Amino acid sequence: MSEVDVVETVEPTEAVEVVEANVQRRDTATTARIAARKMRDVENPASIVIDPRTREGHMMVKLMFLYDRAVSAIRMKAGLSITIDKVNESLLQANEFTQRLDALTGMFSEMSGINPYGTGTFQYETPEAKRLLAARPRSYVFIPQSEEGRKVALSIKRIFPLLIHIRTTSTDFARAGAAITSIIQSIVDFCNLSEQLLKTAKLDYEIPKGMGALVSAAAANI
Amino acid sequence: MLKIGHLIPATVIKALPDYSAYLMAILGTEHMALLDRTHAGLHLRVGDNTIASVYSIKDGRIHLSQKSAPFYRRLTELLVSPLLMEEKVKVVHAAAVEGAGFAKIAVVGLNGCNPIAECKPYIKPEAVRQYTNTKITLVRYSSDIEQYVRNAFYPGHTDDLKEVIYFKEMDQINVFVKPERLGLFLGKGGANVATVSKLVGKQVYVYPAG
Repeated sequence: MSEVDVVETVEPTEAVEVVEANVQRRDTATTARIAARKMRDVENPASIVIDPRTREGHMMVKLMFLYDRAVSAIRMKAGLSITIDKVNESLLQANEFTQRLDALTGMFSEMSGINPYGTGTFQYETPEAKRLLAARPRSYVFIPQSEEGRKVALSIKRIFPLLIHIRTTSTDFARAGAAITSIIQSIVDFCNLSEQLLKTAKLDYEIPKGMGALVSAAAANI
Repeated sequence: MLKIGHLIPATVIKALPDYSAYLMAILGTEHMALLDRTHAGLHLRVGDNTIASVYSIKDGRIHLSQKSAPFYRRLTELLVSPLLMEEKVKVVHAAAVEGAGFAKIAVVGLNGCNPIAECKPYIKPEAVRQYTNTKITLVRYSSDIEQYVRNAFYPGHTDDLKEVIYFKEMDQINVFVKPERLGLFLGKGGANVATVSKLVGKQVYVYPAG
């Protein structure tokens, strides 16, 4: 009798836990739909597959989608609803950010001793390798609408493997810490830039989930 | 290229003692791979940079190896790359068996070059030890299968090898050696004859002569 009692008390608790877990997770149909879309998009030769594997990386990719949409819209509306001067200013800001990411790549490369240009990011970018990455549940398949978006995507592809390398193998964490802080600060600035560009393009902006935590982290580190 | 058999540079990201594999980051990419400890040529630590060949890609996971024949072949090609560029030698086959501690690599000389003499200065033990503890033995390739088997039995001395008979119909090779040298030709646990068999791609049997 006592065994039956125990089962009766445990079962409802487990059921509640399962229900809560399901609420938090995506339903299977959505996951399957996203996976199918990713596998379809990856066949596009212009697609870029990104698997950032870090929290900062995921945030950067989410912002990159917004940024690319904004830059593309600004270019399309140039001379119509947005003045040419405003477009020039926006594109200048976008280029400045790309240069900043390149400088960051250089810093990371120097710290890790890995040349992200020389070791073959693109050498491995075969259709099979892209499919392999796209099949990962937390990867993104990005089809850039603008050259600026493409440049940022390629920078992300270079930076985050180096960040993982630095995080896992660094023996001097004072230097690694500086690199991590600079990447978090870049993400905060990227968020501000994306917001500004979306406003210029007269598009809706919604702060990606988790950005608040990163802003707090950036503030704490500074 | 991320294809089976290709050599890739990788860094050890995780090396947990109770895990059977190292987690490796393939340099310059976002791909991660697993290097099974039994397939690792050396004892690795976190942060070690090494090279390994792609052993398999299944269920979205990339498995690397530092003990497979393609790895030894690519490693030899890497070490003798100046000779390959000058078109002096060509690496033809590679063979290794588990636990043997050595791999046999068949090389052929181009434009009248002696492949073993040309390759020897490049296959230095200290150069090989950077990547694997396995010993690399060079074998002179020959299109004559009987001669190829004779060459492949190195370090067994050729004078001790009495006769090599190739049975074409059975795709089998019988090798007769001096009875007192039989152990040398067979190798530890039959590793030498098994490696030769893999290298030449035929069944090889060793018998004492007379």
